[in-house]
Amino acid sequence: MRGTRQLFDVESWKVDRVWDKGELYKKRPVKPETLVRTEHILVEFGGIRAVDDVSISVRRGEILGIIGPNGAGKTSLLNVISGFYKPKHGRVYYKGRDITRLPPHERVKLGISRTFQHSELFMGMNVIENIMVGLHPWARGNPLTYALWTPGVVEWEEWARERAEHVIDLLDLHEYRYHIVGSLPPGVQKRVDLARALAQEPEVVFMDEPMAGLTREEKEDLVRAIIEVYETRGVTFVLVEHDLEVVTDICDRLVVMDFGKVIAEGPPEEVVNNPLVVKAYLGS
Amino acid sequence: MPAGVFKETYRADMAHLRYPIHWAGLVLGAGLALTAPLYLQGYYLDQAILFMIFLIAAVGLNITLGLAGLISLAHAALMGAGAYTVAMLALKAGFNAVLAIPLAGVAAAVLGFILSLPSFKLKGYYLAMASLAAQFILEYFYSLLAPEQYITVPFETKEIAGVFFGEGVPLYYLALAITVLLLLAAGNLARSSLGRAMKAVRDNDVAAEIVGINVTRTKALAFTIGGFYAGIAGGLYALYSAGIGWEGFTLLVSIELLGMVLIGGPGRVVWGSMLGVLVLKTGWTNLESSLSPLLMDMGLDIIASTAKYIVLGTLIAVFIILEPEGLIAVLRRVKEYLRLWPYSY
Repeated sequence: MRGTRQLFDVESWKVDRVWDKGELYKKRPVKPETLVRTEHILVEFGGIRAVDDVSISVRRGEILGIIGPNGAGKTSLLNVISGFYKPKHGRVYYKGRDITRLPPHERVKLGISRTFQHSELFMGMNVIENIMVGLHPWARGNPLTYALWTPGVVEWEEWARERAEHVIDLLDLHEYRYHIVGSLPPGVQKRVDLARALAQEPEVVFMDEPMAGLTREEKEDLVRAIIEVYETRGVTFVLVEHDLEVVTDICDRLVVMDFGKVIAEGPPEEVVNNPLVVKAYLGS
Repeated sequence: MPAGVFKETYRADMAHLRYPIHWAGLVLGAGLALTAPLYLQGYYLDQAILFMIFLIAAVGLNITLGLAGLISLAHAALMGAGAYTVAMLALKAGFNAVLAIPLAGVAAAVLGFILSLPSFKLKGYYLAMASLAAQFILEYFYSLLAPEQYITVPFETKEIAGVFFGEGVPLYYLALAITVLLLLAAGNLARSSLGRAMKAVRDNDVAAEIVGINVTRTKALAFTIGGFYAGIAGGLYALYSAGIGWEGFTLLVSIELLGMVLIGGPGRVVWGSMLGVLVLKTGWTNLESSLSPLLMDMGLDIIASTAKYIVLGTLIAVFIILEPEGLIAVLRRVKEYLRLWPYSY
């Protein structure tokens, strides 16, 4: 069944409305451009340096893996990039623009989305609502127009719903549409989390340990979804991941962190044979 | 033949009236509400008016507490702000009390915004404590406003074009019109993007921020809108009541409103609030009036005077533990059962 249905209809995605950012997902040659760049990021928690002088760059059109043992500072780095932590030193640039001081909800509008390690979904809402919440930054209206349910608001709601439905299509979430998210299995929750991020039509998606706690089948499903979005949309992915098998399979480039520092960087096959990396993973 | 009702457009899926039974309910409800003065008189009409006043206030609290998850124990004080705005404007400036009701909403909304300031930093119990402090400060302030305890809104200010809106049928229809408008607005708000943003803040404020919601703004809006509803309710109360005193807006009233939302259905802005007010205000008032003479006869005077709060506290505890989604969830289960009957699924 899976193969016979057209998973994804590129044309219908580009809903023709003024406020649509539709441009983003046109098939286009990938420009060799740096999307996100961090410079000498330093994050400290009470004297412990979680992230220590980390400079990485994420290029458009790649799947970048950030790996490292527990406590290496991967998630902290991610939190800095998505704006949840303010770094003690260092700057974050997005397409050359300094976004270090920008609040998280502003970064989403620029095109940086993320998913969470423990699917931080809105457990009391259904799948549709969870995905549509992600579109709130683009909402048209104020409390008065919402209360009056003006034609403009209705039109926006329809547009948002349509976009949510496309992502539901893409990630095969049809049967769960009206299910309360808290009652869904973890694998599906991860997909809803990804769906929420993708509905925002991001240029780059940061995924925090997407494979953690999933069964092999669920992992394969999720990887397939990532590859599909990557190939049809040209969305750049950054995976913060433990699962070396997944990461070496799908990533173009790996960054290895240990004790808050970057210890290696490069193509997967090169990195996993790096003696420093082997030492960090297996101990001395 | 389709085995159920299927929607073909997103617009139909978003509508308030989605199923035939909704239309039936609308016709029945509108008919009953419009003709109520024909068969409800005196005390019972007053009960209907009080029901609507507390319904508006409860809807406001349901937006703050049920949708956005912000515990407020100062909702009665916000109601008081509305009532005192109308009363003072009428008394001191000779302002028409009916026309002052929107101003009561605005005044309470401003106060609600101020009450939202602690919520930017505080959560849960601590926010409840902050709002508790606000409740007591405002209570004290109201007692200073009227040292003689009661402010009487002059009768002539309750009049528009010779119609006296202070009691009876005109007040009933005025309250009905305002209630319908505000309930519709609340329903729209709940299904809008803002309503979803509020629910997101309630369920997981960290994720809400990362997903792109301005949490601070959403919290401020939840309190402000909740305050507006409380203010309108207070303004209507000033019209309804012969005299305004701070005793009408004490912490106990706040807790009563909290109980209405929690027991009715937090997050179900319109129907949840309606059930809560129906049980705790209308139901309880009538039960109490027949129950307390009985308790008095049995020599249980102490229980008779405090029975209300014993029951209120017990009900809140029972619902929080057994049915956090409120009475509306119970009703939904009954509905599902009847829909599927005689099959089990």
